[in-house]
Amino acid sequence: MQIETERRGTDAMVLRLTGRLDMLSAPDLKRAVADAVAQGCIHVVVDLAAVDSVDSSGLGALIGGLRSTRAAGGDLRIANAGAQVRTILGLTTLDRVLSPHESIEAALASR
Amino acid sequence: MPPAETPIAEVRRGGLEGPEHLAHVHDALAELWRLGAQALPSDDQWRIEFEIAVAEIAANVAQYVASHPTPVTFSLVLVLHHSEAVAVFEDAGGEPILPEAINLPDETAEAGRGLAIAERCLDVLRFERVQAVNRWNLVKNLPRPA
Repeated sequence: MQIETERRGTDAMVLRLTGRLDMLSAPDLKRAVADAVAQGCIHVVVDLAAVDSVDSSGLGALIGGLRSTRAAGGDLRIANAGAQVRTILGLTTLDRVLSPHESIEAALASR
Repeated sequence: MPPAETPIAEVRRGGLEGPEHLAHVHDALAELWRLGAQALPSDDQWRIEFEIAVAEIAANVAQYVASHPTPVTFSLVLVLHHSEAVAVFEDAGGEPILPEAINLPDETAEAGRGLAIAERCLDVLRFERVQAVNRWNLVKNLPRPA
């Protein structure tokens, strides 16, 4: 999986993921969120438009990111989730805490 | 006893060593869908749920063999029938310790969802140990035509 970062303003970061968010790549996402928070970007948007699939390890990394951004006074949101991601979020009821946004801009605007 | 149903498509992978080989599992699924394209339901949701379940058990088994004290590999057989899709994972490692009940953890938990996700996606999820082989059987019925 590849992660591209884009800073938005003083306190927000967009992480664009490409590939599979799974057991192998989940640590990379956790590190990217930690780096964002360390730079003062406590509002993180994870763009899933180019993500093929997310598994339970990937969900764990998203939840970990949600916890670390909230601990810093911010939040983590997801955008552009496809059918596979929406399905696994629904199966786990995590769509209640990681509600998908239709676009990066919508996710940023919901702060 | 009725004759066994002839599979529409069958894909096998062996010698898988750990998480670095999970891509082979996704490749095997893609091959199964390609070989069985004419029999697949038009609704993608069925296929997505079977893939999610296979990926979760694959990750579970891959993590298990990678942490095994002696070198162990795992294999996967995927079969598409007219009525169901089946996945069978096997490894010859020691008997794994499995939870007595499969439940979703708290929403803030970062781990422990894999088996619960797989179970919710399938009609059958069964583990058995037969002649020193660990075997996971996954079955998902195809949706009945409307």
